[in-house]
Amino acid sequence: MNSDSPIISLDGVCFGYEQREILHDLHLQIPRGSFTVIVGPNGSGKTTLLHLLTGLVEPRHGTVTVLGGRPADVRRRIGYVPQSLNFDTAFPASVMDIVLMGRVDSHLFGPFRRQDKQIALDCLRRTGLEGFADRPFACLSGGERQRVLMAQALASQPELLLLDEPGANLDVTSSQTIYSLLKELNHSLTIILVSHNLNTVESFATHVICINHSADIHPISEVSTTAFANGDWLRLFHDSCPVAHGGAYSSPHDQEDCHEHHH
Amino acid sequence: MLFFTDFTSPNSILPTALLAILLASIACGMVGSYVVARRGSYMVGAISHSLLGGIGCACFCQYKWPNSPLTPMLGAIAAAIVAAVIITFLSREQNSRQDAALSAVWTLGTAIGLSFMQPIPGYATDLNSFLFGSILLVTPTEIKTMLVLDVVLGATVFLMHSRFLSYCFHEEGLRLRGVNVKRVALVLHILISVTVVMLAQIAGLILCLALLILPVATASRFSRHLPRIMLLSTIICFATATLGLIASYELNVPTGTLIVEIAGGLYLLSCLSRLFTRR
Repeated sequence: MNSDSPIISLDGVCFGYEQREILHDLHLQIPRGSFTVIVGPNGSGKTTLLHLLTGLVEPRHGTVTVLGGRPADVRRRIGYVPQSLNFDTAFPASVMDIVLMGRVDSHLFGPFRRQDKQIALDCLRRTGLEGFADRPFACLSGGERQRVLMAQALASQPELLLLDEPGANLDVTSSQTIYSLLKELNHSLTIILVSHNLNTVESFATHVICINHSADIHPISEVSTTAFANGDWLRLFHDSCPVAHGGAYSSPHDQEDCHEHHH
Repeated sequence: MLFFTDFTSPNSILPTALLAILLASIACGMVGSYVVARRGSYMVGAISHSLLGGIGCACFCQYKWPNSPLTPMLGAIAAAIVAAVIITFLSREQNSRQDAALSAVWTLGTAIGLSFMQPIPGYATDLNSFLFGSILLVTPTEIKTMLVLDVVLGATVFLMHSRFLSYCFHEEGLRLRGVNVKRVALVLHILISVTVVMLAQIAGLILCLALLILPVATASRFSRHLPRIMLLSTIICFATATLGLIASYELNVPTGTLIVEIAGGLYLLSCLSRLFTRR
């Protein structure tokens, strides 16, 4: 595949649950090697977009191409770090157990090989968690847990890393550690992350996707720096962004639902 | 003491009972740890009550056709596997709620079992021993079946531990690795069902839930590593069940209920001890 070709391409993608449409007619191309931040209000479809890119859900219409193929076919080349809030913090496993989950192969049976453990240790070192292998996951701080989840994603040796709000519920220092780590990883990986905190990613993001049911991608140079510094995604772009328009796409079904609630 | 005198006497049924406790404890430690890690106690309740359907059917067959090869234990295993399959497929259907699927299996199994048992003369006595356990009535054939089940459980856990752990921790992550999550869930649910069958021999259908969960919950208070929890809960399950058997034999009270009372007491003590050590 040509190294200049986009790593991700969405063409006329629509997605929804039952009657409710979440994403409408998405056309996006994300460059290889970029550090892209997805911003938008709650319920705008940020996490759904990540699920489409990993192949966890299929679009109703349109095509999603990731790493030159269908997401479901290339998902082993994608690292995904979900929101850490979705995990049981008291789960009885060691850090090594959690990282090794990134080395599970597609077969139903089979224990890990020595090479898998070596790779897991290497990922712990890359995420600054050397010496943490035997510690219980339940006894870690929020920032350390987030790094363990990143190490797990790296253990699958991905070409593309997707993260859902990696800085959520972390203090400033832990959050900065996570983002510095991501900046370093961006030398060898394409990174796409959902974030509400634009201040933290301002210095190293290359592109911003502004999403509110429909979406646009912009190079960071086109972004209003004042808005970025203030973390104000509503005023990031002056004209093209669907969020800036206040133009949340609302499907006919949504409107019907609203009317029903009104009555 | 009466227990130890009888234990060493020829043709004693106590060594067989103790062996049944050991085999059931091994299954409890291995499989109960996944149940607690995934917070799936309600599923154990549903499976254990569904066993009554298979047991009732087997009892009815033996009543109608005395040479029927379908023993209550085989009926229980069959019902447990059917329950596991139904729970796996219903709860993974889009738009389906797992608690609704579990409630359906729970109540339907119990109702079918009662319907089958009602025409059998003296069914109330049989029903009581199935509901509250009858460890002293375990036969050598049942011990052999339990041994085979333990070997199968051990081999499956050894080969699939990483998948089970990943499934309990984060299902989506396992799907992203290209693993067929539905198959992993089905295998784990079958293992849970088989374990419930073994524990029902000791504590009965109603109380075996406690015997699967309480030793693991107690062990979880002292360790955060699953393999250690497996080992510790096996020891706790064996110790509490053995103590319950000895005490019930001496006091001439029902074994299953006493075992669960000891296991429950130990769990509460472990909670209290952690509270005091924190202070």
